[in-house]
Amino acid sequence: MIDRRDYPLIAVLAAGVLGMLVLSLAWGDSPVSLPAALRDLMAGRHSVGAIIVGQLRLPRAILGVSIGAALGLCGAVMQGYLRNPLADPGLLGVSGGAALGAVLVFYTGLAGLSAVLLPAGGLAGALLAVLLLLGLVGQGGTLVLLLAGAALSSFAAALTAMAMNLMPSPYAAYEVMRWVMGSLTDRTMTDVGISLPGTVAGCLLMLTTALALDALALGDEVAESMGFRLRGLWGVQTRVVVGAAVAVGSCVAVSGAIGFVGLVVPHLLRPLTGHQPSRLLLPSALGGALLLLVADAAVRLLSGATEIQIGVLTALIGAPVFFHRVIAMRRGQS
Amino acid sequence: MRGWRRCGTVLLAVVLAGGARAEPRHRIVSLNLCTDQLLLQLVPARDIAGLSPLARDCAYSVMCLQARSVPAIRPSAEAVVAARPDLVVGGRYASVTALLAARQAGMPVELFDPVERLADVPDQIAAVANAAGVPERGRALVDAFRARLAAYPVSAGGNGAPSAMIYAANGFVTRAGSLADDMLVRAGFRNAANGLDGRHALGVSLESLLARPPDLLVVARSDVGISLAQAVLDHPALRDAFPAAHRLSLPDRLWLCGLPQTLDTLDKLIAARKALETSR
Repeated sequence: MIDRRDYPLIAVLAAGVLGMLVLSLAWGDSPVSLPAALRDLMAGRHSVGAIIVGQLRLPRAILGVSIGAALGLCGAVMQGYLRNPLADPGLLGVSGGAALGAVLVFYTGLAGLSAVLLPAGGLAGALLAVLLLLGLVGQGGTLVLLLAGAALSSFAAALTAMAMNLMPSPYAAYEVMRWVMGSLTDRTMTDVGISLPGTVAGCLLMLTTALALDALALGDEVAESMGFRLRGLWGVQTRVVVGAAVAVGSCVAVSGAIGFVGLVVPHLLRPLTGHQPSRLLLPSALGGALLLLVADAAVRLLSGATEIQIGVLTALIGAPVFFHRVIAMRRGQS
Repeated sequence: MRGWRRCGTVLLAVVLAGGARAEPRHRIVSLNLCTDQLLLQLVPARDIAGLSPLARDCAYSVMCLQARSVPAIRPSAEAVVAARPDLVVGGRYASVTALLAARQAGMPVELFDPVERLADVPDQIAAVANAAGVPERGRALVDAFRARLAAYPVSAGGNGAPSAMIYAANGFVTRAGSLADDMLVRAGFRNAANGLDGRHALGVSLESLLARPPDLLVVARSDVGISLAQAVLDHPALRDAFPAAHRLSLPDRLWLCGLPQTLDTLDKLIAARKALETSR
């Protein structure tokens, strides 16, 4: 799965993630000495620096890495499986479905009963969205996929907004943006605990399809003849669908639907890894983590009195890539 | 001379209250949470034709149980006019159309500003009592309030006082020019929110709060439903940075309005300051 030719790329991306991780711990609203804070943290002292670094910045940084990696990987796997460079959990409504599921669990108070229920709600919404998507698209081409995705994501966003307007809390209606665009602000270690297991499990499940994706690039029949089972309980489709739903559902349950990461990262890295889907997976995960950490740093830099949602920034980076793809597609047709 | 002046004030209040009649009104409609709660303490329940629905909500109203024994009225023009009130009271900033419609229908309408200082609470009580035609009942409440307020020691305040900050959902803080700020000062605190720069105009992030922590964090919460904004108030970082003596949780209903009960909230703040001083 990891090609020797990709080592330099992977090393550069990993170094970038590490660097941004340290930066996001060291830099924030208030000046805190990172080494001193880490020493206090290790010694279990509740100093101001230790609390700020350990309980505010660390969860945010961990979530940035895990969610970015999951979204990047998810985009690469979905693009490989659907053989379509425009596949992305955000664009196709999977994240939107997950946000709806998480919102229903969170604002009704169900999430308070058990920590499992919040990611479970996100997972159920994501799974429903993927199944609907696959059912709608069938054997249809790119256009059908995008139409179905647009319909699903706007429908999910509308239902999310409606659900939040009906919730008893006076603040709920103002938080629609946080779920539709995504945000990493003020997350806790509890959120990390809620989201990380599902994210890791979903990503591992998706990674098991790497070689099948290469075979699928040559067509369904070729893949079947090479011994990859596409349908069935452990078929490639099931693993992609369930893996993506578990990973995206767990992410969105704590961060809201952050769009465009899964679209833009594989697109930017594909020229560097060649057009072999399996070689794209690990670099896409690292690239997604890097992109989200950079976007989060930008959020903290730009947010003054009001907060900018992180999804706004990923959309600002991602939308031009999307425009570029659309123009390229039109040229290809004419 | 002094007697004359007081007489003049009362006369002015009566004139402002819409006519020289001081006879009690019997179909009063109130469209504002604060006048709702004052009316419940001033006039018999049978004289109230309708209160705003918020008055019944225990998250916002300290008189919620009493409010449930009188009708609630939707703050819409139609509902207010249809109730045929002989007096409509409301706030200056909400339900504007309903109040306008009532005035156009020829009903007496009285508007009240939100109270911004503890010392203004008696005036508001007296004004609402006069409008409702029960000045004697108003005077009794006012005298009790003044007597209780005068019994509090005048706090030194200034820079030596411990600092406190009122922190609400979304990182909102309360600054000078509000009843809550006046209560903090009266309880012997310095409002730390007044020293913040304009960058925090809309809200103070958790990180800025923790970097310059006040001596007392007053967590203002409304207990309605669940939201991310409220969840921030339970962030473990706040729990660790502000142990028991440095944190006071006060629900919204205790200081939304200037009422006789507002002094109970002041008692809580003073108790918190004493606990803070003994913990040092």
